[in-house]
Amino acid sequence: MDCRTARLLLDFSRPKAGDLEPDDAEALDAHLSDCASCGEMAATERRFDDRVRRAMNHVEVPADLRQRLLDRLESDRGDRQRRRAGHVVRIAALAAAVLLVVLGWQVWRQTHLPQVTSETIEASVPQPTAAFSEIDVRNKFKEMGVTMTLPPRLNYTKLVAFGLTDFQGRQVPQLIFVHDDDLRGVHARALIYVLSERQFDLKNLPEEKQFPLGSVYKVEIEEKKNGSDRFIYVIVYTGDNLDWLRFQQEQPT
Amino acid sequence: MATPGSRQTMQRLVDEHYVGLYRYAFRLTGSAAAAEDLTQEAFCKAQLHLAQLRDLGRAKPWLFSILRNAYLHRVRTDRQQRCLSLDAVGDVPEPSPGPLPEIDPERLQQALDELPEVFRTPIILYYFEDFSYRDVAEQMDLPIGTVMSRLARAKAHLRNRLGPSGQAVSVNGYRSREGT
Repeated sequence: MDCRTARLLLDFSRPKAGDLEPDDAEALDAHLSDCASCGEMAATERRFDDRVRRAMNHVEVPADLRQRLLDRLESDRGDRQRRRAGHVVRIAALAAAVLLVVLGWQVWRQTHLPQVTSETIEASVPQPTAAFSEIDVRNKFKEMGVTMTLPPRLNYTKLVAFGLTDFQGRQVPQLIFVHDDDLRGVHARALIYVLSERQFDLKNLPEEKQFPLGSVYKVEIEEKKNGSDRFIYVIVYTGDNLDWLRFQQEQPT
Repeated sequence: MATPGSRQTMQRLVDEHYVGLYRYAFRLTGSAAAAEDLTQEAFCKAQLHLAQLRDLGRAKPWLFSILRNAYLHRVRTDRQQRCLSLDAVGDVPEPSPGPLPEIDPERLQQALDELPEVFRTPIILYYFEDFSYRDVAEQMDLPIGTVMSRLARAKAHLRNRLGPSGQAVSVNGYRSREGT
């Protein structure tokens, strides 16, 4: 080993750290014992390192530091367990509150179910209408809490039933008309749904459509204002036309 | 292998490493109170993240790394700390032959306090806990060559400050950490 290599390896020559391979350490030691110049440099370097190491380690460690550290760790562990327990309690309280609300809602719902009475049955069942005029129908709907404008120019002698029915999840007025003319062999019927702009989006109403089973689906729009509301009449009927249902002119009421 | 909150594991870690960690913290901070705070913080963090320690044989570098990170976190908020500019450390002088007096630990601490942390940490580890160059490089996440270069310059600074002409560093060599 030459002096240049030896001085390079000197920095790595610390027995405890193990930075040098054993062979290199042995070769370095051999060179340092043979070369006075490098040996003196290494000795000086090691003396300096030893002095710094001694001074560096001259730190007085408090006698009770170990116990204080263990106490602090114990306290820290307790704090974390308390925080975790706090979280569990908060979550349990929240779950209990949600459960109470759900149970309360179910109890309220069961005690506030709609009562079935003769009045509600009468209001729900389509009315037999042999003797009903347009005014009777309008008044009957008012009694049901429905304010609306009936379709114009209808032949109410053909009305067989009316009432509220479900249409796309909403309760809407429905009128059922039947036309039987045995002599001419005509048997037709028409269902009319009265839709309010307040209940439905009526911007994209479909055109007239033929159903597969032979009915004709027809939409009639009448600008009948009732306050700010507008009503649409959806008429589904069988037969060729609706001549039997409609008068050509408005009938006196 | 270690489980979070394992009291026995933590006690073993404290028993084996608290002296080394406290001395390391003391040399980093230069204050007994700060060193104790830092040591406590390091062990508390170790307890919190004990599950990350897969091999108890690697506990020492792991703990030292936690302590250094905690220290760096504190230092970043301490704008008043003063340290020596990297340029002021200078080149590595040849060691002067002849008998040398013992080093006063307080003088050593003053010299360490003057060094920027990137120089101070490797020199402390180098002298203090017999970390290999590779260990120091891993601690600081640096290439070994960079660690050696910093060690050489830090040793040069210590020689200047602790040698016979130890008062030679000019106050012009200081600047606040805020400016580095």
